Amino acid sequence: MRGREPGLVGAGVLMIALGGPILLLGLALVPTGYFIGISEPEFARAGNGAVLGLMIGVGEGILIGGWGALMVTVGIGVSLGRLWAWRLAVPILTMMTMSVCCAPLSIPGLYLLLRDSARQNMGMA
Amino acid sequence: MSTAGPFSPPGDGPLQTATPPARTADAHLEVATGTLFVMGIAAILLAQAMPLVGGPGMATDPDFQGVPWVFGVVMGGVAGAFILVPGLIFIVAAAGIARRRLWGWMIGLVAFGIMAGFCNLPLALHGFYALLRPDVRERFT
Repeated sequence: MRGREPGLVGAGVLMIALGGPILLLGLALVPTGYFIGISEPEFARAGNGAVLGLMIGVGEGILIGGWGALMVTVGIGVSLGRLWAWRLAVPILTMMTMSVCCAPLSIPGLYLLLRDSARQNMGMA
Repeated sequence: MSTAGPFSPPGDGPLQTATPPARTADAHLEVATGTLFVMGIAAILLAQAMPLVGGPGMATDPDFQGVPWVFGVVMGGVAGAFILVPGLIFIVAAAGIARRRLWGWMIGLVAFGIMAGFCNLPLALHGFYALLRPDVRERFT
């Protein structure tokens, strides 16, 4: 039965554990950019420092937070045994493996996703 | 003596219905589809950040004193457009491969070629492997 395979639930939890802090970091970048904009003299000299700081914060926040949101969404989908989530989870975890700090979580996640029983649970031979 | 044929009446037994064979997903093709979609999303996320970060970056850079920061936004927008185009190609290719369309297979090869040069060589090589196996091409119509 889909969604009951314990390894897939574990892989989904690992993805949420990886993506959650990235999502929070992205959200935190918006106020951080604002406060840097109003406090740094370079921003004040360039014009409206608050607006410039917010621009950086929003741009970087969407970039990093969007990636984290994608990971959390895919992690929830993998936990529920969805094929679309499995498709996206494998390349995401492969890319995260190239980061030293993410590899301890992404390598077990990849193992859990690529086992025979996990693939058969997704309808693959 | 009666011979059961395709046009003979069903008789008293349970009615036999023709059921199509269950669609078995191919793991390599599914991963290749996901790779293209994820790279497309990543490219869109990066493209939106280019003008938003480029403007303030130019405004606060001492080498660009006197240059209006809107110029940095425009230059960042141009750079973002260059990133957005391959991102959209990736997503279109992912949709075509997921639907097993021949155009998806072709655009997928182009997309993995772009990916090999600019994004992620290992995933691109896997994508080429997934698309170029001998029996895969026949699945795309």
